[in-house]
Amino acid sequence: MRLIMSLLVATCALEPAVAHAATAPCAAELESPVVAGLAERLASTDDRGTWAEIVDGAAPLALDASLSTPDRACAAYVAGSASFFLSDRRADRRRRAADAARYFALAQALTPDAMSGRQPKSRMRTTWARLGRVPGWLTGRPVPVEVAVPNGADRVRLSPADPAAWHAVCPEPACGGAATFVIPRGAGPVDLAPGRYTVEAVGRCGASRQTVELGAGRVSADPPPACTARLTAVDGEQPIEGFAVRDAAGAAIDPAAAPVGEGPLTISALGYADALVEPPVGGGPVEVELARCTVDLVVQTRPPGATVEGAGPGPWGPRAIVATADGQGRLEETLDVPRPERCADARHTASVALPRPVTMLTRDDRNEWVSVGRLFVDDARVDPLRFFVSPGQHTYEAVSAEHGIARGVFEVPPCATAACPPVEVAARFGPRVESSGRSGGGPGTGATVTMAIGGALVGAGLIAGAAAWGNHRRIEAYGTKREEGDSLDTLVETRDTQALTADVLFVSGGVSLTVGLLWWLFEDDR
Amino acid sequence: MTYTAASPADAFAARVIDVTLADPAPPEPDLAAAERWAETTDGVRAWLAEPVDVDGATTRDGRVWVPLAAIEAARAARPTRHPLRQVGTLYARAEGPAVWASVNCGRASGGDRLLTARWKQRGYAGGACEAADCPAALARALQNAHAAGERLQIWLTLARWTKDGEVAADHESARCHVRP
Repeated sequence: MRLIMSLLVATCALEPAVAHAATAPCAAELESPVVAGLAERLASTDDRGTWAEIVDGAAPLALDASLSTPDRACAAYVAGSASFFLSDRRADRRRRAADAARYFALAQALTPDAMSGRQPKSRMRTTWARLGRVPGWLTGRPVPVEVAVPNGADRVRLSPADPAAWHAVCPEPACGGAATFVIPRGAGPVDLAPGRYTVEAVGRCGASRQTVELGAGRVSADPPPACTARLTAVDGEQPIEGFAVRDAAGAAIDPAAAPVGEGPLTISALGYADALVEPPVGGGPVEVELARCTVDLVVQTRPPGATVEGAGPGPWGPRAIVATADGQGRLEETLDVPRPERCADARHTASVALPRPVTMLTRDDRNEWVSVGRLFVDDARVDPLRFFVSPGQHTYEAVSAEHGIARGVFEVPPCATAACPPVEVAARFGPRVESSGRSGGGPGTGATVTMAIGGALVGAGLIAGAAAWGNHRRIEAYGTKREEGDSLDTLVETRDTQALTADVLFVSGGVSLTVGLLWWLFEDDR
Repeated sequence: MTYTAASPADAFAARVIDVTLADPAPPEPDLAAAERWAETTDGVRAWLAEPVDVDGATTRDGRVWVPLAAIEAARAARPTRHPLRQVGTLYARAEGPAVWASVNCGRASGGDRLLTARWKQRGYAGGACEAADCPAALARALQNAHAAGERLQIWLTLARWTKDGEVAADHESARCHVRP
């Protein structure tokens, strides 16, 4: 079967100064002198070698998107015409005709009006006739068909429903793929042989596709899929879950398929200010940055009247504040301001208590002052003379070189008034220790016992090692079983057992000694 | 039919006009044919006169008398006129080479006899013809080229009428392009 496609078009001629030049692709106002030169060269030559050169020169220009549409159309028509001229001989006819058909189709798609003349129409018809008959191709006398480009589409693609037929006519790579003919919006009727065609209406965001049995009259392609935008709301780098999209009328919109070109959409999410977005005409993914609601952070301090930095209006979320007051400790804290239900007049109140100064009063059993060397509060070392802690219950451990250790618990109440004195904590030490397990810098009982066990183990290891060494000497000087009284195997086994025992004792003793030593040092440090 | 003229040659010319160019049959006069005759060259006149039988006339008292039946018989083989778009006009008979009444193709000139012609249209098959077939064939080729909007190249082989009153033995060639 054969596809015959000839387009109803106006006159076109490469030769200059003819009456119908106004509608010819190459008679239009050309911007490219290269294209104009090729057209002029083709008009003036009958040399086949020159025709081939013109095809090579014009073909890339026809596909050069940087050129104007008239220039590209002229280049396509020049390439198609030169290929058509070359197809007049039997040798290589199909390949040249296929090339010509492709370039003519391109020229027609670019400038349909300029390709409607006697010359291009005749050349295209003859070109298709030279492609010959192939099973599976369309047959029949061409009939005028009006191709309606539906709304939302800018062109319609027509191609034989059986692309294998095209490949049979013009195999790769000569023709570079299946034949597709593009009918732009506003093009006139086309002459198409009746048959089965694939019709695609190409829009900005996709193409509809259908297969039709084409007879005559009018082909109405299905409209292409409408462009939609896929909206995502983000807070910085983090996506926002559960946001809502509404159109101008307040109707809910699916964020994954938001319509375009129908006015702005409102994006709203809990804790965020509403945002208006108009998806781009081309659709696609759209990321909308939402601003967090402003929350007025009110910080109530104890003592009242403290200076607070970081409070006031600001986005919800973590908020660093610094609170200071005369005579009180400095409070640096990060408050987590919760997400408000509504943005309007959002307020969050937080209460903080500043650290209070504490003075430790240390006395012994005779109510005499005790000098404290080290003081630990909640296991953190502090200045024994004065320190600050937050209101609440705390533990302390005071260390005196003369009275040992005093441990206890104290409670610091919050300061409810404007001026609060330091909190006094009484710590009671036991009697003076003249000589204790640790006096004179010696180790304590536990450390001493541990180190003694370690020493005993090491001593036992020495004994076991000496026994193993003795057996080893006997093995080296071994004569006969009768002389030694034991077999050599027995001696070897005994020696190995003793050596292993010695190793274990050495290791155990070493560990015990090390632990006892560390214990001693730790006790000394405390 | 009696022809009265200043000379026998004029009488013969009138007879040739009647049997070749005149549309109405004698004795009806055809002034347009006389005008066309006046515009023709010697070569065309010689070609037109070729089939006219000189012996069939009787001269009496300075007048030339030709039987009307002989004139009617001769008119049956009148040459046909072929205007060819942009190229010229040919007179042709059923047989033998045609003659250019007027021509605009290279070195060809009116009175040249068309022996052969060939033509070529870029991208399409060409053609060729000989003698009496050429007028119709050339007309078809020109029509096809015009319909296709293509330029037509034509090569002609011609026999030229010489001043000696004979057809030259050496042939002439002419070449031209016809734009659509």
